[in-house]
Amino acid sequence: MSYTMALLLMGMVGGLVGVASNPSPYFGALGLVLVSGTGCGVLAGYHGGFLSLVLFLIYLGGMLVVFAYSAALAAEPFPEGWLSWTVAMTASSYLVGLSICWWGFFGHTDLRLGEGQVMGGWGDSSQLRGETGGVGHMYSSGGGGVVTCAGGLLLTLFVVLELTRGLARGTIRSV
Amino acid sequence: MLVKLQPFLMSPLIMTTLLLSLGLGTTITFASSHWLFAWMGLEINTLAILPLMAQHHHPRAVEATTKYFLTQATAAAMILFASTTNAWLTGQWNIFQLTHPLPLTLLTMALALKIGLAPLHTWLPEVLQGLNLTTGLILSTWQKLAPFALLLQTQPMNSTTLILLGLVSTLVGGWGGLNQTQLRKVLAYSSIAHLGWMILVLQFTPSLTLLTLITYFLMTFSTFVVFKLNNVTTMNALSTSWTKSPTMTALTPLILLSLGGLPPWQDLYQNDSSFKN
Repeated sequence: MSYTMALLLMGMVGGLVGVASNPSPYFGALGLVLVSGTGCGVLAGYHGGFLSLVLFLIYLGGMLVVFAYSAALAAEPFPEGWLSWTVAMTASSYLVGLSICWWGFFGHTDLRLGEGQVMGGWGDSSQLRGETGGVGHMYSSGGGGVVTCAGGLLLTLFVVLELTRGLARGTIRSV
Repeated sequence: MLVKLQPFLMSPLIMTTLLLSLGLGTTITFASSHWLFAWMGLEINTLAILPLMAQHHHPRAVEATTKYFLTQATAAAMILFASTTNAWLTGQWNIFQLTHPLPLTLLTMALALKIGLAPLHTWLPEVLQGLNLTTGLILSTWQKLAPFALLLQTQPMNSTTLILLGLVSTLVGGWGGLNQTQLRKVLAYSSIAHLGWMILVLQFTPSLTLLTLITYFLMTFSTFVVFKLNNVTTMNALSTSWTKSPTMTALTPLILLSLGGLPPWQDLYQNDSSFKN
């Protein structure tokens, strides 16, 4: 388990470096896919299987949209991948900095990956796991939170529509 | 055919929705004792003002909107990260019980980025310069309320961080405002300096901080409105404003002097009592 977790965590950090090193949007979206996939794997490793699946479905939908839009809006004839000079320099400097931080902070500790249990049980005598019980709570006593979340997402939709509508006045897109 | 430029490009319904959401976001943050809802209120607040900032679709305004969005999104993500770390370490989400130093420092820095305290202030003059005066007014008054409420609520904070933030902000605000020709940039630096004072006093007397915030809002509101009425954004244009509205021009120094903390008005008293405390 520890090896799987180490692999997943390295994939996650690698994906983050891949996004943060500023490649073309194509590759940035690919890095995001890597981050979200491995992140869900980490969550599953910490006994949050249901939550990880739900998150993965949401990410999958989001990533698809992000990928489609970034590919459509920023199509370039010569996209910059991670082998391009500037991107490679940024990525390698991030990696070096990360390794220094890693050795500085955790070099002498014995990390037991995947052994903690973030998602606990749901009380002592319950059949439910913490995450499943949480979903139940979300639809009963946490109803106000769900409504607020939905309202916020609806507002986001209006904001995006208002910011992007209008064909003639494209400041962001190159018309 | 000549196209008449509409002063309001936005549909009134959308405008109403956005303005109400702007109010709702701040209210949610005010009312919440749970970090998740505080964060949600901040996000609603940020999202609702974005189309208002970019409503004239001028490239400079869109650039300012983008900068504002990126800064605020980073700050909000940091707040969320700090509160989840806090929940992981201490097992509760209450705003008033932020005890562990790691999430506390992270949160202080995130809120400093959100309200534009030095050394995380650089976005503020640039963003404010790209907006029209009305939106700038909303940005430098209403938008500061929600993060400031959070700062006030997480009381026992790391005093070194706060003193450093406050000192650097007052210095940067004072020095940055010198030699500027653009009024909105001067106002931005004035905001940085004032918030620096507030942060300095925060750990000693929070009520004084609140009083300073309210009087700062009053003063900056009047300044923005004076500039708006005169329709000026530069020092040069301001110098001819006595031909337009002589009475107001004669009265404006009163606001400017109180912004500077000089007699005859309120702010002197506050700076003085800040020092006494």
